[in-house]
Amino acid sequence: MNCEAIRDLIAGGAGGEATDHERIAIESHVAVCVECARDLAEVRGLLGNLALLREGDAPAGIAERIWQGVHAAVPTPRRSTILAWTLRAAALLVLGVSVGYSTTSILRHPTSRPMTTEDSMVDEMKATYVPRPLEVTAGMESAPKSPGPMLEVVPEGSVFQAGTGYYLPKVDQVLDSDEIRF
Amino acid sequence: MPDPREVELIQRCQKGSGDAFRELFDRYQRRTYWIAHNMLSNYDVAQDISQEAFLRVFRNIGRFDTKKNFYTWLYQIVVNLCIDHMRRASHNRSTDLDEVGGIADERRDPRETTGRTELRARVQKSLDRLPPKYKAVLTLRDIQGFNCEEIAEIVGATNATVRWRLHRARKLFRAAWDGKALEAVRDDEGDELV
Repeated sequence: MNCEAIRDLIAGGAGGEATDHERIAIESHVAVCVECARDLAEVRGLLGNLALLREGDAPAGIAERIWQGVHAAVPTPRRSTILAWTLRAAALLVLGVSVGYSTTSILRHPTSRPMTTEDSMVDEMKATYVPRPLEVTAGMESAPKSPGPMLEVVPEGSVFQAGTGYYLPKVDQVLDSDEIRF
Repeated sequence: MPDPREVELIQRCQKGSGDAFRELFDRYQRRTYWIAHNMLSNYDVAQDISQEAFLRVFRNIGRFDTKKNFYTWLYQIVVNLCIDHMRRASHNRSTDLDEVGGIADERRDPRETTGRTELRARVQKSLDRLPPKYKAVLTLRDIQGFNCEEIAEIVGATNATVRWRLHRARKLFRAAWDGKALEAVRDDEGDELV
């Protein structure tokens, strides 16, 4: 290997990261190359200098200051217990209110499900409903005067739908003769 | 392989134990602080970053997989916070010589010689010239002594990438130490160096 390749290996492996093969290559080269031997010593010296930064004397009380900042977010056992019991009490209260409301609804409507808004509207419509006679236009005198039982007599030419009480009038009763096209 | 005692501690944290979290904090706060300090060379910012890292750990511990190493997860959070901070602050960064020595003013150990303090200041100042991702691997390997596999987990890269970055970081550091422009170091990755 030439000097440039060895110096690359030194930079990447001087801290003990070199493989056995790389280490042997470096050692055998620096044994005969003064420049690269100096380079290796220099890199090792720099790595030693970097190690000076590993740990100085931390400022007094630094750990407690950091902990104080963290502590506010960390629940103590007492706080977490109180919170748990408060949540349990709230859950029981909600459950009690729900059961009480359901029971009251069932007692007010014993034969059916609890009354809903829709039920209330139906009750109100029943109370205020007044049947109105069916309006009959000219030429349709045979139509029923009011909603009621099925027609006894079906007008001639009408198309009657059995079981419904409705019929269709003859075509010439609703259209002019010149409009009738088949 | 995670330590069984630590797994138990984490599981207690996951169940909401504040005492267990304090124990975990006591175990790791010192190294967390120094990684942040090495990368940011400012003890106040290092304190804030350490605090934020532990808060994030606390908020997310429920999702932590206990089959993994806790410390690599924690230091990954610290390193990422530091890199974010460095990127945000890069345009108005100035180096305080009192800070870079490690301890400022009255906090400095009086037994420490002036020569040693100056040497540390020069080392930190050279380190501060490196781009964040190279500074991270150099801090983790040559200052904090993690091996390449651990660093790969922490920085979220492959072992080969870590070795490549380490090789390059040392070359950059050497250039910075010698007072050379970092652009002089061959840039095969096309990285932004300033």
